[in-house]
Amino acid sequence: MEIALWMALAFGFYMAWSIGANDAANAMGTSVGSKAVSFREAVIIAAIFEFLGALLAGGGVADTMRKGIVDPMLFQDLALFPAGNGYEYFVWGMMASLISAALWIHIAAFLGWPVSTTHSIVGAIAGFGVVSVGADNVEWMKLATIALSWLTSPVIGGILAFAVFTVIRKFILDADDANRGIRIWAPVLSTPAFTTMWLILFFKGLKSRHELFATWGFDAKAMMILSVVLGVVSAITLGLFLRKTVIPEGATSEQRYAVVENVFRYLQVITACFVAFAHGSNDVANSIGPVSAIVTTIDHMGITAKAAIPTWVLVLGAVGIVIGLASYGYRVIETIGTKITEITPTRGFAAEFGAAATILIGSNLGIPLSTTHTVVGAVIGVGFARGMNALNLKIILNIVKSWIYTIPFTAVLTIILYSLFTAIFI
Amino acid sequence: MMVRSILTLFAKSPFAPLIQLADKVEECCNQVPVLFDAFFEGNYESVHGISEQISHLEHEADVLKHRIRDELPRTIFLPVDRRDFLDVLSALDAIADCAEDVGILFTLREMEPHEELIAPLKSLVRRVMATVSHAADTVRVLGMVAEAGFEGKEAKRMLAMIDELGRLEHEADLVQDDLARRLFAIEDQIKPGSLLIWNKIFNKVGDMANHAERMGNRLRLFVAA
Repeated sequence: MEIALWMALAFGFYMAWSIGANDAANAMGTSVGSKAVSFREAVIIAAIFEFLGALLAGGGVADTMRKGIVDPMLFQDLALFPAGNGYEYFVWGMMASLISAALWIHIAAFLGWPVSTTHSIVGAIAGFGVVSVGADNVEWMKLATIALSWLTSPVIGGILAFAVFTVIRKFILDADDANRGIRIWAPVLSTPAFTTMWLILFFKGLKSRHELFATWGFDAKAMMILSVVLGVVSAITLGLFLRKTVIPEGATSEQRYAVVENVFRYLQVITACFVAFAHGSNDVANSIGPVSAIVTTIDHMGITAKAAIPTWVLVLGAVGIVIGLASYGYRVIETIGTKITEITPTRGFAAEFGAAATILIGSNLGIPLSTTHTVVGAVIGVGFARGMNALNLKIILNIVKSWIYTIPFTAVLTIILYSLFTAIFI
Repeated sequence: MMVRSILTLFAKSPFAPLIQLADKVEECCNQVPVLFDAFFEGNYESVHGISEQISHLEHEADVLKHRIRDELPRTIFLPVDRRDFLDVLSALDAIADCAEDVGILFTLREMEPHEELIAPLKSLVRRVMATVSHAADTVRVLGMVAEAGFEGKEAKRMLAMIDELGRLEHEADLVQDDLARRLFAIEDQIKPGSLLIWNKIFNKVGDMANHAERMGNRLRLFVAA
């Protein structure tokens, strides 16, 4: 079984590398394109927040990958596996899923298709479920929820981005008093982002201190309230900083918009962090979900009901993402940043806000969704609010194509690899 | 580079090139008063040179127009209706086309200036140029209107400019009608060929303003709710 462990680590790392090299760039593209952050800053922000997101909030979705689609306990069922070695089938099935997803992503990169890593791994695990424990035992309801989220998440991201940009347009860009517009609405718009960050810090980052907190009478409800209060305080602090930005009386439209965009350049740094964090939290699961399933199963030489995801596996995924970013992703970010020049900070802020909020909601519910597709949905949402000068909707066709091809390909390849592995190793 | 990228989502904005086209069309039309001045001075060599210059600028505008069109396939999603955008494009181009025609009409044969026509002709050219310049100015505010999301005060400002464009075109029209009447008042003194060409020249000059107004009315649809 040692070879399985090493293979899991290798392919899990490859997945994480690929996510860092590629999807992180898609998440950061709008920030670099609007010149809100330089390409170098984008890489640093992505490295820090992708890592934190993966480590602090990556567990929920990873659990779904590990046991949400195919129940590992089934592999203990002697009716299904009379020899009592079901756990070995589970290990090789997860391995087959991991490898076929990795392969498909590699092929997609050659084709230039906006294929989702999340969709690939979900399709693969579903294929594994069908071939190992039979279609009857696959959690189709869960799968349907996940598949539905692939449609709803770009739409929700789009609606949120539409709403945010509409507020920006109405109350800031078209305000009678632009100074007041900025000072009031910029902090208001950033309050949810700040609050979410505090929530994550308390609920995920300081999880190990929760018992200590409880002895102080500081429970979940209190943490929630404090997060909101701190979120508001952060926003007010931001508002105080913004008092310094002054649009002079009688400024031309050009001058007025230049100041507004400049303010949003700063705000977009916040949403850029927000996006990187959300992306890390959602997408790390694609690599470490199967890896942790394999590792914990081998560790216990059997299926365990409630093994926590080992921290070192989460670290492996987080480090993989950062290395992917540093070795290849920075070039992708640079390319995207220089090619996307038609987006301004107000638009970038709205799009990133919509995307990050949607992804974080998904992460919290343990629903694996496609970060890339959600970002696309959010950008189109800004477009519908008449905020984008030109979008090529042909990408929607490519996304739909990738939806149609991804699941069958990864599912069938997993079935083939599963048969191969179980024939060789068991 | 091997990527599963969202890069293809972002297309080039057609508004900056549209403003460029407006600049080019204005530059082209600016040669028309120069052409008339050369004609009034009786410098026919210069008239030919300027006419060629106008043709050259019109061709440059054409190239720009085609480039903009080529980058607007059906899958492009604009904040304005794509057909309205293409209409504005062709109306702008039509202004330059008329300017070119005016130049060509002057080169068909040597025309003789008639004292009675000079002052009203100068007035017509001045008014038409005011209309064309104002049309170009209206296109130039599109950058700000786009930044504001095609709504609100910037949009209203553009609508006011379009109203003004209509007024300018109407004034040019009045002068053109008056000019035509003056032309036919002295028709006995003019060779039939010249009469024909003069009438065409008046119409083409007037059409520059007409197309400018048409462009404005298409532009109006950009901000129509």
